[in-house]
Amino acid sequence: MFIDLHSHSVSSDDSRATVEQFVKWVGVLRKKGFTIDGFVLTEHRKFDMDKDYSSLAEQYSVNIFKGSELDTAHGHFLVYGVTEGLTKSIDFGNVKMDSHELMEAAEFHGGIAFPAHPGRFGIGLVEYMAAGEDFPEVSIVERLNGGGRAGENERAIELCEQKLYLGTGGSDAHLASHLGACLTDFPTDDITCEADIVQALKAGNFRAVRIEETA
Amino acid sequence: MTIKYYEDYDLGDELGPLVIQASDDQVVEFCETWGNKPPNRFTSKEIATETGVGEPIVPGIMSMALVAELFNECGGSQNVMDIDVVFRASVPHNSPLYISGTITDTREEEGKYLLECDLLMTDGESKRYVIGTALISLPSNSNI
Repeated sequence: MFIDLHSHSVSSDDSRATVEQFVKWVGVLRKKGFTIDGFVLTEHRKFDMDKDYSSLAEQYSVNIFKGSELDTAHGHFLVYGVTEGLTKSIDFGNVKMDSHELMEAAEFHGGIAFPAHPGRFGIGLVEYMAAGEDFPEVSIVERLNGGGRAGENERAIELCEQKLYLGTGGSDAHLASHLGACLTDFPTDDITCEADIVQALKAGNFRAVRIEETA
Repeated sequence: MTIKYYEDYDLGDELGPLVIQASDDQVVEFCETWGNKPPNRFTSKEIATETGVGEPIVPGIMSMALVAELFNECGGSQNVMDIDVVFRASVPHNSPLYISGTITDTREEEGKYLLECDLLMTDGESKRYVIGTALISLPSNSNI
């Protein structure tokens, strides 16, 4: 399954894409011959516990999952498998939260958290590693980010190769037409909920791809 | 100007890219017309440095006007009902600005023929200055 693990709807303050526009864009991509089976809404600094996109997902035959992208003292982290327990143990709005505590809490509550766009200049994990911070818990990072500037994905790929990290792909779409630019290829047809994504990530059998590789 | 109709567009169609620059003189002229008399942080390197933006930048409202020029190819900016943008990076003077759009929805609503369009202003490579959306109303050729 090809799943875009990183996208933002208008629930994030800097996005201008509605979920309805995203699912219509999935139709455009499919019409062009590309494959996209679903996407994860990783809203900034929040988790939309009460939002239910199941009817939209069914109408357009696309999986819509929910996650978060949280600001930490060590850059942005993607979080999957968010539970009520996790939202109570971590202040999602704290932009200076300790990333180590976040990763530990996510693991404790059955989820997973790992660095988004680690090669981003100024705020990516690479910068904090270069400053001497150690991240022994990290084994996965976002390898391909659709919003990356020149050189940023290259830094992420280099990081993956140096540290033997596994790498995901996500568009980081803030506009409908940017959805699906980068995706994660899971060699399974059985991902139907957020817990399945967590399980598939922890199993480690996936790769980051660009949309052109799905045709 | 060629008349463009609602039916001329489909989901996924692209507009542009339009490549333009905002010169120092154009920014000064815009600020004078706008009522924000130069020198200011948009026109003066000294004031820009003092206010923390480093170099004089293109005013946000001028960037929006530049983005709206994209719609000259589909009947002119008078067809634009709404533009909503997010400024991702400071827009520089005297540098090529690549403006493009992508149609993300088409619909008829209360007798109007509407296009939703994603907007993007970049440096021509991967640096995004402005992202946003526009709502455009076009005539329908079914009414001819």
